[in-house]
Amino acid sequence: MMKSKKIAYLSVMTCIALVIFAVEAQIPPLVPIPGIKLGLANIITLITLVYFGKREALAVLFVRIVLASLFAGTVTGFLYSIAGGLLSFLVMCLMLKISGKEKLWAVSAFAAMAHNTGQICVAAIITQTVQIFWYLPFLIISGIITGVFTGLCAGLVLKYLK
Amino acid sequence: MKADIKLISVFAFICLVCLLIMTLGNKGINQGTVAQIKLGDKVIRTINLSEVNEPYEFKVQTDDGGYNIIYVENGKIMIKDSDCPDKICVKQGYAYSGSLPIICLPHKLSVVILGKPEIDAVAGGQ
Repeated sequence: MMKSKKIAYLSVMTCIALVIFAVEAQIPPLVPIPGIKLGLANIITLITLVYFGKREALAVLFVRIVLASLFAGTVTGFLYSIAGGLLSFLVMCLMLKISGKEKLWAVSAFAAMAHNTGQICVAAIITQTVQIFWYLPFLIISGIITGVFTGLCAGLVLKYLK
Repeated sequence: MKADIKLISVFAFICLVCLLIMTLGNKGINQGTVAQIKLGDKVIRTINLSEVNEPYEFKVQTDDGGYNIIYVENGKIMIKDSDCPDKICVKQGYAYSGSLPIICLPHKLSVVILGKPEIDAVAGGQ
């Protein structure tokens, strides 16, 4: 793919991810547990990872998190997102190698669990509260549910991208 | 198909472990009557909930210019109001002996139930 064409595509991907993020932020939290959300923007990271590659997906993820935190206007929000985002990206790459493109829902579920774990570690450091880890089981289970959902979504989109 | 079943059972197992921790863990943990309110790494207030006779509330100014209004009753404590975007801390309701801590992530505020009853004297009242 031509370089400029690729940049254009990746910008569109980042833009879509940002819009999804903004829309999702309007949905009121369903459960009163800090850190649980659908993580729909992750669909875009997954698609970029499978369709373009690791470096491109990392770029889209990073730009999305930086811009999203700028729009939301919180420094702490950035710290939670970047820790979760990077950890989930690592797990995503690893799982993609192990289980392959066909099992995107499993890749995504592991990534979501990693995201929530990373987030809770940062939250524990920022608030200096070890007790936060009692939320981890809730976040792991929610990570599996939302991860499978976003993984299936990404798989469906990729079917039509070919 | 076989790989699917394998993966599903892995996830089911993880869920089971989590549920087990959720049901067993909380009972033995965070038992006590002392509520510690922290803003980031600073302890801003320590309240002995068993010594609260009259319910009262107070306002905490957070570092980012926001606020949390904390409501204290005998044996329990909650965040009554906050100007954080998601208000999850308000929805979490009361914290009491054996409950999960209340966390307001955007404000870096946490309310944790601490301590065995014997350290009450050291931690002090309201």
